[in-house]
Amino acid sequence: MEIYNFPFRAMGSPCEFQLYTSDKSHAEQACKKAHTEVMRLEKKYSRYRKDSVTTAINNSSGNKKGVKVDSETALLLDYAQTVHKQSAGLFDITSGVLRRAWDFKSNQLPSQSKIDESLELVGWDFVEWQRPNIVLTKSGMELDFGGYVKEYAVDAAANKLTEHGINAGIVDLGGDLKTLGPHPDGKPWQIGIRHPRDPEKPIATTTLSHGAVASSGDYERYMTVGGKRYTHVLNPKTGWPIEGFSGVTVIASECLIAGSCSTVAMLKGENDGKKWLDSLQLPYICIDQDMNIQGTTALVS
Amino acid sequence: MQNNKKNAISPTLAALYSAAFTLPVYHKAANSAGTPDSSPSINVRVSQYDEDRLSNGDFSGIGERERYDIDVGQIRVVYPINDTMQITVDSAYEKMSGASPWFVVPDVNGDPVQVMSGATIDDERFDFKAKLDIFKGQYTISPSFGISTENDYDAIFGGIGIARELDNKTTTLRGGVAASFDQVEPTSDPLIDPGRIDSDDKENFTGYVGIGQVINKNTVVQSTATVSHYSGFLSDPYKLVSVVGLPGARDNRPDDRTQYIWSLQLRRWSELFGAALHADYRFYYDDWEIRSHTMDVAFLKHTESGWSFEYSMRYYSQTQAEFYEPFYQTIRDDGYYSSDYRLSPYGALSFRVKLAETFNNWTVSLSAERYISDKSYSLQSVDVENPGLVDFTLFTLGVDYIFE
Repeated sequence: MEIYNFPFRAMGSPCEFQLYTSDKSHAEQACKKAHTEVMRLEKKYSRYRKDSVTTAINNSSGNKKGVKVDSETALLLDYAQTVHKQSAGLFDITSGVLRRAWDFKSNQLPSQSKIDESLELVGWDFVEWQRPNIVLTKSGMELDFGGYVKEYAVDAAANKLTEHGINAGIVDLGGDLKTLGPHPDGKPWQIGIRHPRDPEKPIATTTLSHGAVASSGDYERYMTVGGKRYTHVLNPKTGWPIEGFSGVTVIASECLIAGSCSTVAMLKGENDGKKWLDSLQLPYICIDQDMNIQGTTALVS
Repeated sequence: MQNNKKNAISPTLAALYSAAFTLPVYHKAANSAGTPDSSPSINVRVSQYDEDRLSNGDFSGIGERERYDIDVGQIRVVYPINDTMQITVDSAYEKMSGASPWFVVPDVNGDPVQVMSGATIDDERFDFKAKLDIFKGQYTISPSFGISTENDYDAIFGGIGIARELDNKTTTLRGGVAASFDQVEPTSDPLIDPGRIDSDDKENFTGYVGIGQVINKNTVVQSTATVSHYSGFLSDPYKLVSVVGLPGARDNRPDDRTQYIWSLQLRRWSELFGAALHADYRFYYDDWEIRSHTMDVAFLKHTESGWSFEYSMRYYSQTQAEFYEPFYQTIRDDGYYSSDYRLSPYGALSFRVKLAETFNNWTVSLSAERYISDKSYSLQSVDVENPGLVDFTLFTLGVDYIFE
């Protein structure tokens, strides 16, 4: 058994499939299929592409008739609605418009009136979702599947590889990952948890034979104004960057679940976020602003 | 990970899982139901069904020894009309030729041997069936209608099926009713078989209820209970029976038949093999006292290059109808007689392989099936085998195209 690496770029991140195989051409074919699946999802849900489902929905904002969506999109919308409800409105796929107010390259805080203006267009409650029809009731509203489609793509790619009989390997899309089973000798994969202030280095490592890992953090985009750090993770209710954890990592059987749980914990902040993670009973690691690590005993030690 | 094991799953996590679970990625074993196909498709099948000629030991020497060969052409068109409706049209054309079992007589040793019909029979059949699926929220309502016509047989049938997906989206309830009205008009042959009926009819009413349950992301089970009632002319107008003391006796069966069927289907995706495993069991009972068991197992494997392989095996065993005999030594009080091998006690094995290649919107498939029936395959011991038991080979070539 040899290890076969398939690196590529997708969804704005470096990605890689690593798998064990005794047949290199078989592995290559499997990776191509999985890669096609990731690219299909990127193309379908990218908000930058004119021909994407996301763009079609967003272009219909304000139109009372809305647009009809296919069944995969419908199920993803159902899922977003569920997470919205379970997070008491913190996970909200309409919150992307806040980007119009926040320019993290400018190193300047936006005015409150600009935030309020964008905030007018935020709220899943302004979406009328009745399968197969979605209506964005306010003109200028936008949906953004970016908050969970990458994790869904991890599961979808892993699914493709499994269908091709690959049962030792790992799918990594920009740090969100899922294993296809342990190394051939039965040893689990070593997973590094990113250091929020030095993302190239791990702050902790964990092991994983089966399942998925997803992380959320304040480190992907941020700006420092007046000595204070403002992250790109925005609270959809206030329009302001969240304050709390610098990073949350969750382990679950599916990457989509792990991703939603880590995102919601980030949005909830330190106290509520930790309570929420404890209630889920999934293994997790959270890192506060002073780089103290807390979480499931087995992972933290 | 100790936390993980303490308690039952949290309600929040359960809600997330059940929402995620509906996405196709997370239930590979499940059939997607409840929404129209995204694009129209057309499937074409051409089959060649070839029954083995009767073996020396089973043949009486009377009649044609070559049994049926049937060429079949089928076309299915699936057309999504809009987001809530889809129509499926099936049509089939069959052309058959060969001889069929006529009656059974004892040979010099008292063993039954088959007398075949005298001349080769040529017939054609045309079937047409249309089904509409209406998707309305949790419900799928599917009315259907069809006709079938051949030289000596016409049938008209219709039904309605209802499926309901429960809120959890992992349970589907199904139920339906169907009816068929058939007319038999056997071709007359006054020289060879003057006693044949001119015309008669039969009808059938069927009802079923079923449940489908997604057990986990890799496993789906489905169970269905069916009751079917036939009434009218249920005999085979072409078949005779040999009864001591009653020359020229005809195949004569009761005018009613009630069938009870229970089936269980298991679909499982195996992570280990990267393949799907199907296991089906079917129990059948009717008030003619035929009881049968069918076991079907299939293994489906897709390869990375678009090829797929399917290997399947079926086992079947049935008991005889209460009034069946290969030939009769005495006259029956109820007057019911049949020596039809389909009412005899036997078992059967069938092996099937299917190979398919998908490229772009096309799928081309080739399958071969070998079916053999024998008294020794039966679950219970059978003293006398019906000499007319059939063995056949079936080849099918399929071409599917999905429009985009």
